[in-house]
Amino acid sequence: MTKILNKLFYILKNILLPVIFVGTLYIVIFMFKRLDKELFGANLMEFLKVVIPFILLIIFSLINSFLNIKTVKNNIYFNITSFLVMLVISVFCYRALFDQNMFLWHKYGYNINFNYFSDQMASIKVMIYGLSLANILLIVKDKLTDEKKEIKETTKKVKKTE
Amino acid sequence: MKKFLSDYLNIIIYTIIGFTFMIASFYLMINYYHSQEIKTPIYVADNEIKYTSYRNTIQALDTSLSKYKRSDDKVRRDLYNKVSTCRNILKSEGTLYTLQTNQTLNSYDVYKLGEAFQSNILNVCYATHLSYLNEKDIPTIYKNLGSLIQSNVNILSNQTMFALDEIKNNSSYYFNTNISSATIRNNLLSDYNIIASSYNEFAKMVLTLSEVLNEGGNNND
Repeated sequence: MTKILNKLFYILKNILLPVIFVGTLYIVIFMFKRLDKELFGANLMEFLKVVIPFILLIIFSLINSFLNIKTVKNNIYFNITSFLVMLVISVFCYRALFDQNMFLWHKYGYNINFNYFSDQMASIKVMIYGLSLANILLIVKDKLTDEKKEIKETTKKVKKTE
Repeated sequence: MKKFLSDYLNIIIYTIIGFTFMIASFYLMINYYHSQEIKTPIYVADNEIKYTSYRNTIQALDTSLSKYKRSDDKVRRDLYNKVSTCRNILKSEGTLYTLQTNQTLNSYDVYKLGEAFQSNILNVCYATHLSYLNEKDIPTIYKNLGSLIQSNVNILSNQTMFALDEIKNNSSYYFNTNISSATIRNNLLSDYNIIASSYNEFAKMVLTLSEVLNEGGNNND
């Protein structure tokens, strides 16, 4: 049961990751456009501050899948939390784009509530950096346990040769 | 040493995961609660009275304009055209005229009503069509009415602007106290009353103008 749930959350988080990245990018691009800010000009650093956490998370998820990091893949707590974070960020994107009961949705003329989304930006960053940090530490832990296995294997081999 | 490191790493990893889980679930719940709270309709007991009063005024305006007799006077002719345009704007989509007579209204209905009042009625009907009544070469009978309308419009404009600005405060992700949530709901209700009364006031001013237009026409005939 745990294995199935773990697999499910692992797949769901990997599906939601590109969705939230595109959603956030879409809102932020319009936010910059509304304020007449150039994305790749003077405000590049400001734009990168928003994008970098997402890129980090994407890089880590690629590392996890290509290097087959088992401590990440098999850790149900990490996968549930990652899924929850993706879900919350997609709720933020959904509400900024579609919640018409918030009056500022109508005010800006782009049919996006930028005020709401920028209010959420800090919490988005905190959650994504938290996940990234946990991911790095899990990779480190994976390497440590890998070394343990290697030591065990070499000792077994030594014993056999003896 | 490695075992100690590995164990210690476990503690740090699960602490970080725990904190992230806590923050994510907090935001998920608070966003859900906030979205439900702002979705709740408001109860407007006297909506039908204001709505019916507005419709009756528009009906009276229709009757008054139908009594208009063609005139060679350019000022009267222009004024008739402008008042007719205003009548159409007062009946247009988004105004109190097209609002349902429900006793419960969504917060968006109130906002839309206020926006329509400012953009259609004050900006188009008054500023584009009726504000010229204050110009120098307009006959005194219309000019007096023009200055009266202008002073009333200034009051209405400030009232609705204030009302709309107040209810924009619902646009973040949560209400930090129950009082702030209740204040926004109360403001929404009073804003509806202000905006609906402003519609009625303005429609009555246009009606008066059309009546004066007819009286002026009859005197000329």
